[in-house]
Amino acid sequence: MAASLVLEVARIGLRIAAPDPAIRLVAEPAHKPFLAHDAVGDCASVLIGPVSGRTARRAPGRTLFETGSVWRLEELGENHLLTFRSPIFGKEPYLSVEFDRDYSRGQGETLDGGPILAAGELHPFVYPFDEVVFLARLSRGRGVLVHACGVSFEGRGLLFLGTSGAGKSTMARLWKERQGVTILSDDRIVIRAEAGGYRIFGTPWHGEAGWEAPASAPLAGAFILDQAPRNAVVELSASAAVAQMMVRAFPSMWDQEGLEFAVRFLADLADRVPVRLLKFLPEPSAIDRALASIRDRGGSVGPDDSAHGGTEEPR
Amino acid sequence: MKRDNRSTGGSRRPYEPPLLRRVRLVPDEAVLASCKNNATAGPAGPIQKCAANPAICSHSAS
Repeated sequence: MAASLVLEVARIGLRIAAPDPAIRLVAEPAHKPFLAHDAVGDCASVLIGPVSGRTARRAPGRTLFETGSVWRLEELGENHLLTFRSPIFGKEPYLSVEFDRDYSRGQGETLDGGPILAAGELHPFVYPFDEVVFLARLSRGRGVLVHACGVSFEGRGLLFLGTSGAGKSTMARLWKERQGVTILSDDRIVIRAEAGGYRIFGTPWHGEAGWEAPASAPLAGAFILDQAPRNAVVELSASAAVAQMMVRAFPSMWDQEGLEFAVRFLADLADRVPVRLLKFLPEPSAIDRALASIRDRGGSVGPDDSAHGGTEEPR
Repeated sequence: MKRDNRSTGGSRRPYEPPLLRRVRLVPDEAVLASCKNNATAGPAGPIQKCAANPAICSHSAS
């Protein structure tokens, strides 16, 4: 039987198998806590072997999405072909995986001596392959991956959304100093709907602070991070909240259905969960300010010095 | 359309007239084409743009 590893993130599985039992599968350190040892109900299966030329022999498909230099998505008949490149490994892809339309089954090949396969070891969970597959599967009605620090505190999940440099890792460090906090991730969080609300899940795709946990919590509130000279929590209109979350999410840009799902998902979330702008200083008082606004859901929040806040520029 | 009951005890959310909003998108990040930290880079280390030319990458940490 082929060796395999199963990565489980947000109750979604990704099983990677190698066709040759002599190939040893290895998970990266950040992924090890997310390896599933029991069956995962919702699980995709991908077989990855050394380059055989199978993909190269296929006629080029219609390009659906092109990131420029990192990865590309093509349509091959009924299937999708994902290819990954790196300037270090030349112009040809170091990894090509053909998936069915549901991203439930895939077959791929990788350069022997490349970043995925070398010296008889297959490292399948190398950025961005696994993350791209998960976000493709999430976009099929499962949930949304966001650029955020997420924490579980007193049984409640709190999200702090921001692009690079916004202060997610800073926020994670501030939370780390508190008792009873689980940092779900300092960079990537999955949000899924559940009965009665939403749940946020840790992921292995951590950021600068390097914190992640295979845990989850019901979402109690979300904050858009905005570094400022003083702490303040500012209400956002529902449409502003959706817009601010959308540009801090990872929707399937190549797929209209997936994009529409993400917009609907975040719009429903903004209807049911407080989404606010957190202007903050990098000090513990910022957390106190955020917590106070969650405890006081009646709407008595901080100085409202911006109707829309953040980087939004109404025109 | 869903109604907001998050802070008003079930009453309707105030009407918002249509509004065109401009928000800043970081394209490379949004499509997972930016650089990522070493921990998820695999045995070869970072293999994206920053590895070939660190000078062009400003966000390799996240």
